[in-house]
Amino acid sequence: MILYDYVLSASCYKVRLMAALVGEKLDLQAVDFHPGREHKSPAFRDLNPAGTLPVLVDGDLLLTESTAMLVYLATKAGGWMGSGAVQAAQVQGWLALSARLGASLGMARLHDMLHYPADIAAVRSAGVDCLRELESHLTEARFAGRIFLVGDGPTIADIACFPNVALAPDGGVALNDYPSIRLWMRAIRSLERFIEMPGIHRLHELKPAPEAV
Amino acid sequence: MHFYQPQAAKSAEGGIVTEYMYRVPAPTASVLYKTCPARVGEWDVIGIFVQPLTEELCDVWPWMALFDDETPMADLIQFQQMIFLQDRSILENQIPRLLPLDPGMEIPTQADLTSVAYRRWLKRKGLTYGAQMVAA
Repeated sequence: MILYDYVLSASCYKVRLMAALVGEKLDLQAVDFHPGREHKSPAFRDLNPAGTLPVLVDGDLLLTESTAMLVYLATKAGGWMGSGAVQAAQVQGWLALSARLGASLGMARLHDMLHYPADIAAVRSAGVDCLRELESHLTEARFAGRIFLVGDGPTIADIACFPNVALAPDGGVALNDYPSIRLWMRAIRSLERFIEMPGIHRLHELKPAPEAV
Repeated sequence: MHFYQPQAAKSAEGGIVTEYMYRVPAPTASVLYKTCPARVGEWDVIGIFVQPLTEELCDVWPWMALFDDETPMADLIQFQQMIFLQDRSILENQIPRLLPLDPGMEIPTQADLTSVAYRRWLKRKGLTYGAQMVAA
């Protein structure tokens, strides 16, 4: 399975993390996203006309949306999708929120780190709206004795939402005000085979570095 | 200085003991010479130019000259950006943001020798932009 990848991309990290968690080995192909804008080059657009990262290729299958890649990796491995009609629908709901997180907190980060043009006050404020929705949901979940977004265990919903939330400080949005979100992130970082990316650290420095897949 | 590095460069396979030489030719520029894993006896050179924007904000412009005939350019760039971001989180977590030039704000240890020397040098030069001037 080949992943066209950029190490600092939150969306690419979603896929790398999901693959690591289910034990799927990825062949990472680095794309010079910044400063080279290789993803907008004619050669790369032959692969993905949208000119976006990540791109996942498995035999004849080519996926260009990170949530689609999560569904593929999770379904192949089993689990991670929620069970029954209610949870399946809830997972879809959080996948939609993950897209809003990308457009708000993710865009604020791209603005601050890679000089993307954006109305920074507007995207940060939209990001805070998303964080408040997440915080209130996760607080309710904690009251009910749960820690993940859907049901009792981790699903692709958690993996889809986690990176842009955890990287929010890169875009100038602090996470100090969200205790339930911080606990939820801790639960994700505690998962067996969790991997890091720059800006998202393992649970404890003394834990051995997990092997990247 | 000698350090064991689990991965000293993109071209390094496994950990090696890496030798480092640091040079600070100007207060906002530094040069790092590093044992080259791919070519014994040569140095990789990495330079950093810091462009202050305000007293608490700067842009950093890195350049480097590395011996590596195999790794694709995109991998080299991503590796450096990954390292750079790891360093950035350490830097940005520094409190206070203004660099204290006067003793009293902290208890220096052996590991702070270069940092202390750097700050003494800044003080001798009278360079106080971005520095904390409150005496203890």
